Amino acid sequence: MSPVSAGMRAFLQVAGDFKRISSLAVKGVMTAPTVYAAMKLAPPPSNTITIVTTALQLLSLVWVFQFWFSLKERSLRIKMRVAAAAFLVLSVASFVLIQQFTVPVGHSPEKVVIGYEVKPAVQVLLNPTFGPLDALRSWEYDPDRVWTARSLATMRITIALVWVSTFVALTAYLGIFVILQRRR
Amino acid sequence: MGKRAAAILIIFLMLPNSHMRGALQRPSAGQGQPKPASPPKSARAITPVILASVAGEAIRSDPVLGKQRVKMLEGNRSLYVDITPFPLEYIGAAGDATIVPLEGEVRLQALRRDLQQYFPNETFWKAPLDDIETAISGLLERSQNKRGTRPISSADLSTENLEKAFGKLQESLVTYAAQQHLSLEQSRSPSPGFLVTVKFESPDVNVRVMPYLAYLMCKQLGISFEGQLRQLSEGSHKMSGKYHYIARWSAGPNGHDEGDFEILDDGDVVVFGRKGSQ
Repeated sequence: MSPVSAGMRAFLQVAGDFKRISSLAVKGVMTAPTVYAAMKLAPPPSNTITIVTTALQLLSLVWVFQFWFSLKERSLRIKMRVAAAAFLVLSVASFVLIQQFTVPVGHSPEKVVIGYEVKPAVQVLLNPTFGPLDALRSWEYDPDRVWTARSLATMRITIALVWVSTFVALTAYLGIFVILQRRR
Repeated sequence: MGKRAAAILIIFLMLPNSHMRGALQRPSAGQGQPKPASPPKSARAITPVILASVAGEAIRSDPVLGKQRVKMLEGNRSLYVDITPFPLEYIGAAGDATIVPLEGEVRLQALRRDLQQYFPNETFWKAPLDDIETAISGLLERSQNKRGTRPISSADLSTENLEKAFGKLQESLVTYAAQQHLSLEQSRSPSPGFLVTVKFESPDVNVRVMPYLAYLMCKQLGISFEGQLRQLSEGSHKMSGKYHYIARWSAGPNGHDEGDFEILDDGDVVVFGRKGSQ
């Protein structure tokens, strides 16, 4: 049996196993982005980001089983530590970015991403009682009216990348964990 | 794209005088009737023909100015309508009065193009478009008058009639959508809007609104915000955030009211009475 087919066989076993905790954990992580989106906790545009996140999680899980299944245990342990560290750092980064650069629209749970550089035409209107967020709600919660296109694009891409990477790191961590457990 | 619009404007202003003189002799809606004495026209008088030509070129060459304003969505179950004006600064130099009718003409031509595409055999939109055209002609004529010795500026021009005419078109589209059991999507920002109900306590009230930030910017720059105001009709609308409104009544004392209101949630109700919004 080649290492590649062994890896994919292990992947299919995990995917079809609804009894072991490790297999259930992998499935839980795969559905987590959808749950976050349903709870309106995912960054906007939540539908697109959720689809991309889930696709990349699946890709990373297949990658782990396909290419790392036959690696030595020591190498896997190092990768698992790196994935765990990346997950922790990216989780904090996701939390901070979403807290600082997304705002709810009125009283709804929907959010919009904001930028870090206010347009000069808006900057002159700002004062201690009228900040950038006041400007945002004063133009139909359209951030493109308040922040520069560059700062909005930067924040939208950064938040999406960090969010997706967080779940990819967690998926890789769990994938390696499952491989190590199956060797015991 | 703003630069492209500016380039179009430059071409517009550089059109040869002989062309304009020829176009000026074109019969107008009021031909044959006695005309009141009017101040002398500028040497660079612009006719409706030239205005239409410039607007046509603008919507063909600039994808923003030529954006689709009417379309059918969701397998022809939903009608999308956008009659919102462009900021005058996008069209050309702030203060230039001819920019005001040009902005209206750009909207008119884009709307006519889309309505002809989607509803070639319907007539409900034809009369409102004629009214808009008349309002633009009136604006164009006034834009070339002089106030004392100085040329009139965009701030001196009221677009009330123009926006009323666009409002009538919108009402026609709303009525048509209701008759055809189509849901109506109206233009707004990318963020989700809340479904709000607008009520008028008085039947003769005319309400126009604009985003509050746009109002502040116009005040800061000292330019007219008439071009940014959009007609608000009774019924359901998707809106969010803070707005500045101007309400007018056709008769009676205290026939004008101005203020701000804010939409924060679905189901909000805005009532315009003699004392303004509530």
